[in-house]
Amino acid sequence: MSRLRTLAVSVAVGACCAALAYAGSRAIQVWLFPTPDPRTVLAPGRIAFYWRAWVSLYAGTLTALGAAALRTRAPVAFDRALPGFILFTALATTLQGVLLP
Amino acid sequence: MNALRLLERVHGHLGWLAAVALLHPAILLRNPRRRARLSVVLATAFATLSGALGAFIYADYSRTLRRTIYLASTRYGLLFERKEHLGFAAIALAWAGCLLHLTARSDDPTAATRARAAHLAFVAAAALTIVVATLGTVIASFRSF
Repeated sequence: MSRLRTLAVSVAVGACCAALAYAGSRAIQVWLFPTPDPRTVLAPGRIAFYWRAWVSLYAGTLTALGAAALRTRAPVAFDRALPGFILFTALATTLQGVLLP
Repeated sequence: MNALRLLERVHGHLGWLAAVALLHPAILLRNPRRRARLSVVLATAFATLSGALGAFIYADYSRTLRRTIYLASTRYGLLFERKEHLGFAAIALAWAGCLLHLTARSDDPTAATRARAAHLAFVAAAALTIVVATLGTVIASFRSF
């Protein structure tokens, strides 16, 4: 049961990290690698949303593995950090969505 | 009515259903001892289903509709970008809240902390989903398939 709990909590942290990776990659794209003006693109060769989503899901999976290792060592400290982490994820993704679309 | 237009409408209705469904655990889980497994699983399933349908029609949106919206109004085009980013975050937070709530059993010393984190995740997911559904309705009434 404890292992299953650790796995579930790690996947939850991985989901938050996926959202953060998505927001971070979009913010970097807006700052450093701006896409062409959509009004001038007749047919896009690739769809950036799919790439961002896959890359962030991959990053989320990797961080879930790291989170599982961390929680196995210090479960109480790990769980105490969860509310703050959720709050940080919500704020960071909202700020990116609003300020850097 | 073509298939894409139909799918877009279904996506929109599912989005509003997901917003309402996510509100339920957001309100219910204020009490960390409260268990609402069916509610959190169904709310997360609604949000995921709506997001998956949106992702399914996204390729057609990108090829046919995106340019039209930007040509008509850059503001609406950017609103759609906001909707897609906030939607991704909302689904991720719903999953986090669902998993944390399902592991928040009362026989564990840190169960209350996970329950509080789950509640926060559902509050954020519900708020984001309401914004996303509103933006979706506004954009769909501006330009559609």
